[in-house]
Amino acid sequence: MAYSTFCQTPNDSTKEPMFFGQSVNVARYDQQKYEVFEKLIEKQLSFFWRPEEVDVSRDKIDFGALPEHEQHIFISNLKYQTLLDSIQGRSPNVAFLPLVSLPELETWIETWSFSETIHSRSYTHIIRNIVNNPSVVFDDIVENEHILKRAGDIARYYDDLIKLTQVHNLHGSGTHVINGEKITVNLRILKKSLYLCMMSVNALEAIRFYVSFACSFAFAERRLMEGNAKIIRLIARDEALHLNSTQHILSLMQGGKDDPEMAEIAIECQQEAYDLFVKAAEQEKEWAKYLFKDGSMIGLNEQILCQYVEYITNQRMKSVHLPQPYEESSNPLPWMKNWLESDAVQVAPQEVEVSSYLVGQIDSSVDGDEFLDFDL
Amino acid sequence: MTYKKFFKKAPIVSLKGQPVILFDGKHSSLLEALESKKVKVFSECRNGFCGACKTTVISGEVSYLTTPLAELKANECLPCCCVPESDLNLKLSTKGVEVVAKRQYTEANTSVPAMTKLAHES
Repeated sequence: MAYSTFCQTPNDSTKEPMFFGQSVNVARYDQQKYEVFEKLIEKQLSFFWRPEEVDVSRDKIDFGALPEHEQHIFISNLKYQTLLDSIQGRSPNVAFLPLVSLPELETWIETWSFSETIHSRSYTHIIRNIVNNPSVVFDDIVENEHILKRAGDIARYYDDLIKLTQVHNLHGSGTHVINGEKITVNLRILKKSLYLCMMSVNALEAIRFYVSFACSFAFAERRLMEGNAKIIRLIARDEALHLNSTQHILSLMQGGKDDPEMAEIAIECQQEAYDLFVKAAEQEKEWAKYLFKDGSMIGLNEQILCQYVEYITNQRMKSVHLPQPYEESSNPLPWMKNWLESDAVQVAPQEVEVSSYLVGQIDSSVDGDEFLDFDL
Repeated sequence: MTYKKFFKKAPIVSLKGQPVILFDGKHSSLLEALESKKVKVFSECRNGFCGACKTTVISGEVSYLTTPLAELKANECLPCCCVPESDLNLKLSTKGVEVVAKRQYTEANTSVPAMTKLAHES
């Protein structure tokens, strides 16, 4: 069915599947097929924060004092996260909104994507603060081969789905020659593309982000770059929610109650989904190698980070009902839990004293030693 | 809240049948109680929305402090935001956990001496 921004055929949206039903017309939330999306929206809205609320001025001093190989780790992670959120800030909207047929899910996707734009803005906030010319960091994102390698794999599934949707919208099912390229599209192919795209997004939110999180929190464990860690903590809290939402969507697809054909596709695509996850994990392990190429940092090295990637990959794959590729182990970074705990996130600056929050950005603590050279 | 202590038996939490915790209200959530006994449970948000601590319940009931947002099957629970309602048996490993050794009654010293038939039995 061709997309319309306001489909005039009256329908009961609770009888539609999540995707590929009649496009949403009235944005009404009094009747819902899946209440969980409404709850996710509420939760996400309650998490609202702005990067400017977090003072990162202390980080500039910390950053300047870091040895060069640690600066490389810090900056590289920021670059990678900027890339991830650049993609996530727009792609769910562009790719999923034309296909969705439930108002609550449509609004969730918009809320989700919007929160990713806050993340993107916070990277600018951090980078602007620690380097004199932010362009050095941003310009490298589309040149750095280690980042681009993974960007290709992340964007591929979205691009595939978007292209197929457009062709299907314009020309309908069948084989079409477009710009000399033969493209076969029908509803089943579209559904398959959507399923794999959702898996890829799940892998992105579940594994790819956590390598950078681990590094940021490892700095903060040493009381360095704490402003950054505070922002990353807010980002991690949002990402956990997004991860939960894609797990929900995937489970509903796999269950088959929503759309029986999707359940068939889920079985058909199991190997592909498995490979996609393993590839993401292996790419992240390679990234760990690149991060630590000039030296490790205290508390974190390539080996431990790779073990962590394997550990969380197993956990995340279990959550979307896929077999686990790596040997079972215990969590190699147990302290991550302290940073990922959402209750510990400072909700309002005035509520809790956190070492990096300074009123008016002036540190008013005075050490007794400072009066030693006073003579009366 | 205090009256409950008089009327409700503190639930026993077992891991695959091995009793490990007496949930006597000292811990605010099942997850905290499990962690205090060094049970290995993966957790992240600890607020019911990431689903990282999802655990299979073999038997027993839990009640939630906050409604979990993560998807749960009928036999699963989120320890981060629930407390046991009744004795609970969870599908978790006891590896590395200090367990309460069950009292073992051996029959070593209670062997029956050779039976001799009494006169009236024959």
